[in-house]
Amino acid sequence: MVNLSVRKLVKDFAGGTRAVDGIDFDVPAGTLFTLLGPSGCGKTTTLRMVAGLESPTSGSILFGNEDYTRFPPHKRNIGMVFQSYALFPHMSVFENVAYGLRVRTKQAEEVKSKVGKALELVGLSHTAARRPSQLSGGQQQRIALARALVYDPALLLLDEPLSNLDAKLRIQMREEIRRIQKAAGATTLYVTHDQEEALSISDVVAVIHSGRISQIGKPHDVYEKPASALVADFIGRANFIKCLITHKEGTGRAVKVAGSTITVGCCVGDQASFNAGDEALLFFRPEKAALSTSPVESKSVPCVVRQVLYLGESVRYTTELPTKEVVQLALNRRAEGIDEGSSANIVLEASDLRIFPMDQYGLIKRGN
Amino acid sequence: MARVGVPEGTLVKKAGFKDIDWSAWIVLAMVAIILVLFLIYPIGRMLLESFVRQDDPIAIKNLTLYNFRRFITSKLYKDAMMHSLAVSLSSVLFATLLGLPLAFIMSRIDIPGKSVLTSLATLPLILPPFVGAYSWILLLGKNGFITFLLKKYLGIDMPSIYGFHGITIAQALSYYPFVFLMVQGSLSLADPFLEESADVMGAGFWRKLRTITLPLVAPSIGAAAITVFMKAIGNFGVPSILGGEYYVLPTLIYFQIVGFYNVNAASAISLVSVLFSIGALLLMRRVTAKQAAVTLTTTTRKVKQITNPVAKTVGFIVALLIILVSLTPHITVLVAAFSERWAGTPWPTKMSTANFLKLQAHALSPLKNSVVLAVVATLASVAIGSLVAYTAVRRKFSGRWIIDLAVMLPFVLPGIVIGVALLTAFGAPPLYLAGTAYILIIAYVIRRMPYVFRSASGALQGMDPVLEQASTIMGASWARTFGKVTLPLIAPSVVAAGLITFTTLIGELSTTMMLYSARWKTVTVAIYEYLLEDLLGPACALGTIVNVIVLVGIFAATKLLGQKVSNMFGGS
Repeated sequence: MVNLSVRKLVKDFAGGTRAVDGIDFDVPAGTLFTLLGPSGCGKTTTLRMVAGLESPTSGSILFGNEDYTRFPPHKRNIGMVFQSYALFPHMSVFENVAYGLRVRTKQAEEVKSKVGKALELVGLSHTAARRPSQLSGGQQQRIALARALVYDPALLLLDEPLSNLDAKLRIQMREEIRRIQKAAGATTLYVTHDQEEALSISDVVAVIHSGRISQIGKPHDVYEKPASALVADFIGRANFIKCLITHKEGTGRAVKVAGSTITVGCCVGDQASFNAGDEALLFFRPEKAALSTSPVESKSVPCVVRQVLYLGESVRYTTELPTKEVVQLALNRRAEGIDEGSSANIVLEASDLRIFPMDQYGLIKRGN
Repeated sequence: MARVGVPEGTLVKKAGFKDIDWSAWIVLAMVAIILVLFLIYPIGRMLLESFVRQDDPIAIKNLTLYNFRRFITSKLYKDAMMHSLAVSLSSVLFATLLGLPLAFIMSRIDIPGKSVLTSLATLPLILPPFVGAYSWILLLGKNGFITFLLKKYLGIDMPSIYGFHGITIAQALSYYPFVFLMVQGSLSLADPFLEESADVMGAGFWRKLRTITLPLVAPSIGAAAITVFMKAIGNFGVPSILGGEYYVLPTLIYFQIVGFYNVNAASAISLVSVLFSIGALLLMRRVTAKQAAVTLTTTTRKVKQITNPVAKTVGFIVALLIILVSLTPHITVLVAAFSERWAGTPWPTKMSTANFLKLQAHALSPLKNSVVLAVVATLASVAIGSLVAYTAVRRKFSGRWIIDLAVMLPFVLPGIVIGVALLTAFGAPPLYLAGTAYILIIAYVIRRMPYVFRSASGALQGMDPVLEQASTIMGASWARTFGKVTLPLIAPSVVAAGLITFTTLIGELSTTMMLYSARWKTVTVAIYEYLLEDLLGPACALGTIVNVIVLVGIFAATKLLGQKVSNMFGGS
């Protein structure tokens, strides 16, 4: 297993579209690194360049301290799981898994024992004689994983491996993938558009947007401390409210929201954009707020409850501020005495609040 | 490429000569050489030869329109062109008159035995048309059985079977399945709700037929008619047997070569003939473009079938009659093969295997030649066709139009024209191949490879390229990936195409007639020679053998693909 380093990678497609626009990242040996982004953001193109299936317009791909940028794909010693699994329909499960080994060795005994171990690792030893078409989606997925790992590749690439499975199986399989990846100690590059999947499975997540990396960090940091309104908006649910900065308070600011003044713990970005009198974009997660019938000094904003939806594990409140801005709240229990049509106060802790420069307003989706 | 972001001292893994996969490039180069040498060059050469006089070398100062001017000055040329148009158009008319009602009956009336009837109706398309053609001499010739009956009981003197009538009858009956299959296909694809909504709005049967059903399938009728036209105008076998003094363009080309070895005149006539085919093809493109918009249906519901007992009875009888008439020539060939004496009676007065025994003297070595040539050409077509298909489907490169052109050309060019092209290219040094087995094999491959190409590229397009990418990622070279993954997956389609190629080559006449020598006489040439000597019995016996080989080959292909015969020949 080696470190993977990607340096200033650029890919222009015929017709002038720039799919990947200068991407840099490092994947330390044995870790799982995820490229997360919406479809068309360039994450799969990046993965395919690492695999050698696409050639970069510029930039470099390093395995350890060797530059593999222009090296042919079949010589790179990579394991890859495709979105559609790409199991060979005309071969048995055994032959599918043995394929990469047979390229590397002629010793039948070695092939047999390694395939046996790989099938054991994914818990499907009993399917060796079957054809891929006789397996369920989840089983095909695991065979694809066994086939990619069996010859100890320098690097494991996973391209949206769970997108063809139903919701329940997806959750089960991502735990399974994480277990197998750790057991094999494989340096892994994982591509997905599913943020929950990315957060749960990765050591490090890179959020990609329009061919560029918006943020690299541990799952916890990417979710709790988004580096931009764009990341905050793409990962999880987010509230964005316009606010006016009144004065500085430590590293944070006091801001005016719909007539009330509240304290914000952190300003994200160039400090010069957060002077008194500037407009800014206040951000918080729906589950970080509380509802109260009475206001709390420098922590609450008045609202009217428009809709209450009971979702089982949480209760979703849709509220409206006096400015007509809509704010979503997710509480873990019903707020006493607050129903549809009630006036209430949204209570917010400074450490859960972040403000972004107002010029990021254009980047976010409105209406959630 | 600028190498950016790499620290000093990084070891650059360069692909050495051994790391690069050359196999794909070698294949590409091979394919390019074959296409250029054996297709593009001969056709280019033929084009040039048509603009110089016989025996003049190709040079700027020798360029002349002399060969083309004969279409104005020579009655023979003018007539041949008019005859070609006349027989082709009348073949289209009669093929449509037979195919259209059959298509309607089979798709809209609930009659028994549809599957068998469809297979029987497809037979005339599979069997070589010229084999059936000479049975008309037995039926409608001077001593033909039908001629005899008409004269004896009705006092009607039939016009000679040689010429316009004979060619039209034989071609219409051979090509009507195109109309039947293509129109039936689009009738069964048409959205049933359209007809049902016409029902609901109160339209009667005939109004519905006239205002909804026919307009919907009109594009496929048009496409079928054009297909029949292209087939008919390029056909050599039928007019060579039933033409007599009635020359059409393909027989005129043959006459120029065999009579005068005038490749220049033959080239010019070929060019004129090709212009008609290209015109028809351009028309086809416009017609089928419309078709795509019409036949799209989102429902899997089948069109309601007419179950009225009278309609069912009438429909069944009409369908059976059409199919019986179209099979008459082939049945006649079979019966004649086993008859010793057959003149003026409905059934031979003496049956025996004498005709087959007579074949021993002259037909054994042609039979062997045909099989040898067909096997070699089939293997080459399969190998080249699937490699070309692979190159065209999987590789992105700027020269793709050459492959598209090379593969389209043989569809447009009649066999006789390909024969002329190869004669102009290889009938003289430096590459003198005329009369050898090589030139026949080259001709066969050029003509048939496109069919393998179509089949293989269809299979490749239906195959997800990530399967090949997965193989590459696991470390397999291009050759290993092609051999272990690509080839096994497209094999059924390719083998089936190979079987069909083999059967069509056994029945190949037009190109062979231009290029064969005494050493490499084929079974079809042997049949032709029997006919010239008026030995209809042995001709029918040999024709029967050809038909049996063809049927066995096609049957095997359908089994291999798990498809009906009609599906394999319908959609062209």
